[in-house]
Amino acid sequence: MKTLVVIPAYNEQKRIFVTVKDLCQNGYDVLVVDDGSRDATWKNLGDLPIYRTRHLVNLGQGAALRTGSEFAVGAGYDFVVHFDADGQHRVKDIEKLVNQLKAGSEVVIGSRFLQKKSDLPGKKKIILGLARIFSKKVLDLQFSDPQSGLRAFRTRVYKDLYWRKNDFMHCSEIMQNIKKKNLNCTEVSIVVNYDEYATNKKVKPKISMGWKMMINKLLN
Amino acid sequence: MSVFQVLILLFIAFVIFRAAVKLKQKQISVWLFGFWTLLWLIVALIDIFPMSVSYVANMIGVGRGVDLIIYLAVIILFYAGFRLNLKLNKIEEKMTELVGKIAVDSTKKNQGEN
Repeated sequence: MKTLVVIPAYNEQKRIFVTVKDLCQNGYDVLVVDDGSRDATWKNLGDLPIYRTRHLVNLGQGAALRTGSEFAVGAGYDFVVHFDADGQHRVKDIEKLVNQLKAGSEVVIGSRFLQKKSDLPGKKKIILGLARIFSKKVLDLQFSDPQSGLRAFRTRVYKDLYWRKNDFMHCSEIMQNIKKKNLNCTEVSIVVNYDEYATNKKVKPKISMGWKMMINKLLN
Repeated sequence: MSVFQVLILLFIAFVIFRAAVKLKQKQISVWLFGFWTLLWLIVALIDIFPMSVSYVANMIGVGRGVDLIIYLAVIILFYAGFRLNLKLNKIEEKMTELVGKIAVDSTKKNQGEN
């Protein structure tokens, strides 16, 4: 079973090399989609033996993941894993996700809230807690971590999972599609490393997204 | 005639003059020039005889002529904003598709050493 780890990267010059190198050393096929970075992200990939491509302009994380997944489908991969570029995800969690796919799941979502191990900073904990309530009550999505960026799926369900949002709203859209298409989805516990770099990143989900999601839900 | 009315007339004269220049440079057709001029001439007439709008306003149940113009302007602007939003979304979708396709097609693998 061939697995491709797709990494969307926007202005990640500080972390991209270490993150990707770690994956390569663990034997994963990696595709980095540079989402129109203005820093040295592309250059810093160096000679790493990976697939790489770039968006001519910055479109957003959702679009970069779509590009990567599109490539995985075309290149004949069986599984796709979405993995963050900033090093907050652990490589060893990928195996957990892939094992669930091998066991029959069609989509596997990494969740920070199934166990209490993730060391979330206070502010992040509040925001994610609110996002979770919003997602459950307003969007009617019964997932423990609706904003999780670590997920894996079988390429054959990509069409069902297909998300149109370019920004961070793709997370909720993917979950809505899982529900709509009744896909076999499992959540597995993951641990996320929140260091200063990951916490202080400039590109983050915005609160205004909640408003947009509500409008989408009402109009669709 | 008030100063405000004169200013509006001057503005209308400027708009028609610009259209005439474009017509002379063959950038627009005679038909478009005719339509554009007619539209602004109607605005000029309303400017000179504001009571004419009041007559229409009374007919359809709006208090004053100026109110009618404001209501119409708000509705038209709303619609224009909506159309603009749709167009923007469409352009963004097309751009996304294009950028994504170029990225997928140009994906390459570096055969460097691990």
